[in-house]
Amino acid sequence: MTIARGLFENALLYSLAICWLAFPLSVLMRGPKANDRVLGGLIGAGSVILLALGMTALASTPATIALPFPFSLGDVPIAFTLDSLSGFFLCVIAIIAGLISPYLRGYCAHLADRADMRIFWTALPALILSMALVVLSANALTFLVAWEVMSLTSAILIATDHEPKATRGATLIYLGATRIATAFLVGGFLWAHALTGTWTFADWHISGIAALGPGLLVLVGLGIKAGSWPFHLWLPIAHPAAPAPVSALMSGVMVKVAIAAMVRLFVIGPAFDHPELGIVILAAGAVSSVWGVLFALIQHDLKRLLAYHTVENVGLILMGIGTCLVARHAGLSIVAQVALAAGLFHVLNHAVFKSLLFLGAGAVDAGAGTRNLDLLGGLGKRMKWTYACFAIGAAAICALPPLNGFASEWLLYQSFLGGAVGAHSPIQRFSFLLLIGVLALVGALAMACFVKAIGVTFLGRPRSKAAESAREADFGMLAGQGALAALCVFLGLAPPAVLAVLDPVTRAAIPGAPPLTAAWTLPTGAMLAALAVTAFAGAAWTSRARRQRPDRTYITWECGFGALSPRQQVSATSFVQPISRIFSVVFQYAENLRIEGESRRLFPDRVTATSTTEAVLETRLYGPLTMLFKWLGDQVIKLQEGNIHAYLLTMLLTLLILLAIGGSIR
Amino acid sequence: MGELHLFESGAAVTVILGLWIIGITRVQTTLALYGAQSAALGLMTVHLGVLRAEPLLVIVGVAVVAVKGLFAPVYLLIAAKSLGCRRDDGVSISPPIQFFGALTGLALILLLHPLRAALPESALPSVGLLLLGMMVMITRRLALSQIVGFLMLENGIFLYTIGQPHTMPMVVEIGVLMDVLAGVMLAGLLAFKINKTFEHIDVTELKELRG
Repeated sequence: MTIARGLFENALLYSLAICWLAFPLSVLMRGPKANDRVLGGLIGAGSVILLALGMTALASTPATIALPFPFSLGDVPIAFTLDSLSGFFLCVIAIIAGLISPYLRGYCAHLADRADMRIFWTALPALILSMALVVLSANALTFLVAWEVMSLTSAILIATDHEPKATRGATLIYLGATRIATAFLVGGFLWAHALTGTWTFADWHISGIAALGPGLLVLVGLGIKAGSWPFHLWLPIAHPAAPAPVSALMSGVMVKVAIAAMVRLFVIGPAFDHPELGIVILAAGAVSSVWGVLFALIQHDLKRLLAYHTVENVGLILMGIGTCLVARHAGLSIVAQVALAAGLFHVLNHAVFKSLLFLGAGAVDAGAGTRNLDLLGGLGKRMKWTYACFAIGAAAICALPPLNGFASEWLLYQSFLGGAVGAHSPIQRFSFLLLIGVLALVGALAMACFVKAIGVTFLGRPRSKAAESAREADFGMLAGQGALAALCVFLGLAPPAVLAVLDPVTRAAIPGAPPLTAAWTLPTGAMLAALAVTAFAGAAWTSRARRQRPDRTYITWECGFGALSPRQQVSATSFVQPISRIFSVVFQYAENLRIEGESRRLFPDRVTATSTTEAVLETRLYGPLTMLFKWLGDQVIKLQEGNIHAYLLTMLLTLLILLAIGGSIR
Repeated sequence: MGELHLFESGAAVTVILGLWIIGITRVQTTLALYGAQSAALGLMTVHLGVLRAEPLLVIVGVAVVAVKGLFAPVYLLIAAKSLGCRRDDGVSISPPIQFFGALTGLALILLLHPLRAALPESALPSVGLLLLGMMVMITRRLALSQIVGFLMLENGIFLYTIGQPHTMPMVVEIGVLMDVLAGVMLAGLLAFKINKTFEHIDVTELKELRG
């Protein structure tokens, strides 16, 4: 306890010092190169401190640390909880931030002539620190302050390269989403405060029908930040606009911070306890996983594709948390335990492989100058190492054994199976069986999506000059990606170790559960051996086959089309065309074939084929909503005449009305 | 003179002076009346300090007389002279009619006391003064008069604080006073700036810069 406290205070101090140092350093130092090296190192050092703090929190008994008097918000002290949950999430934040830090310098060099990096370097440590504080905060007010700093610094970071109009639009949309999220959170917290009379999370125990109102408000607020369906629309807009390391941090970590709050408020404690809440979380998770992967399939921008995959993976995590709640209410404690462990494990795994993939996309962007899949191709030869790392990340996100994605999804399958076998009501059994189907569908579609992403980006022939002259990333960038890829493999091979770490968390949520390590039943060693044998045999066979049949050079049969060009390769659109047709209702998919010419049947002059898709939620729901608010805004703006006296009069009337209301309430 | 009686008569003087300001068009007189009002407030504070045997309150009162009763009006008078503004005819309603409007309004507030639940009886004069200050701000044409309106509003707040049995800490009072001092100086400078940019300080004409 005392060690944890001392370490916590020191860590807070050091991290604050790093945050404050970053600004003057970034302003003072001349030359972006030196600047980037020192500041990247600072961030690395800061994450080592965070990691140490997280590990201490994991190892020691839960403690709440309230800062002394002047550090308070009104009469509520700024207080932090050091327990296994915050420790776990601190470790996630620290690992990702630390492994991104070597990548920063190389990537920033590519941005330096377009953006003011001083702002970037000032906001980045603040974002990392504020994420840590959100995870640590012990009461609603501390949480909101840290949450706001996190939202605003991430918005600043998205706007780093603010020259393109799309980036500015994305920043505004993201800011809007964060405002709405905070509004919902504030509403939920105020409601909970009215019910309990305290701001401390640990003292909130609202159950029954009363929990539904504040619980849903908080859930929506956190869901917007987490990118859960139907509030995911900021993700695919903000991520392509942000610099790659920022996308990696936001998608890998910041989204998880909302998950951490969700676990603290709905699972451990729980602050809001109602059977329907678990079902809501589970349903939102199931829909967002399918929705996310479906829309990822039809994207042409590598980073937007990854952003939709974040929606999918957040859905998987939410499914784990929701299953935990549902199973706990049904009295299935082992299922609940495994589901929660699956969700939290997937938090770590997704953080690792999604940051890896975003860093890879950033390396492609920096090396080839574009992220548009229709302009890429053949990068595997020019960017060997990036390709290798990206492939490992893609295999991990597709949940292929023995990588880490498999480990957590395996646990998720196990919890669903356990629920399907153990649940008492037939409806629940059927739902769990259905969820197994959903998970399988999501896995298959994710696989298709990453076959497309890798195939179109790294294989085949370059589709543009930019892709032809792509350069491999520098050593620092590769080191960051390589470390993350190695972590993917390590986490895939060591699930028992991770489960041992998660054990106290699940124990806090489900008292009296057996040790979590028993949940991992797969023999990792044997699996690995079998895999190694298969891989070795495969490699041996191909090399032997190559030796027996040497390469032959011959002229391709061109079927009368003339010389084959890179445009005749399978493209991002054509690869997913069959899937688009199957799910044409979701995509509003339409194909339009036009053949022109005198004798159209045999000798057409011109053939054009276009396919269109529509982001249904955006156009059908958010579009009209936005128009409504714009109309309302137009009405309000009529008050803004520019007449000072009118403004003053409005203020006076407002004051009088407020006084009257206040008087009548009292 | 008892404490309550002193407060009541002091409040009455300030409110009457405030009403007077509403009905005046000459800038010079307005500023003089404002000075008188502030000086009355300051002297009342000194007297209260003597009655309550609080030397700090006496110091605050003296400072109020010096800053708001003397410095602010004189400074603004000099500004008005060099800006060349003599009269402020008000916006849409002429000040004499405003005077009667304000009088009726105050009388209504006193008689009906619509804020009975929220405010004690003793706070009414300060609310009245506050509303009068806002009225000056809303109905005057010149930027200078609006400064006066704002200062009257501030006087209303001051009247409220000294009306309370436990006055604010000295630090707060002096701090507010310093703010007023800085505010007046800044506002005077701003009036010059506005005059330089627009060649007048008529607020009704300040519409060209809106977005």
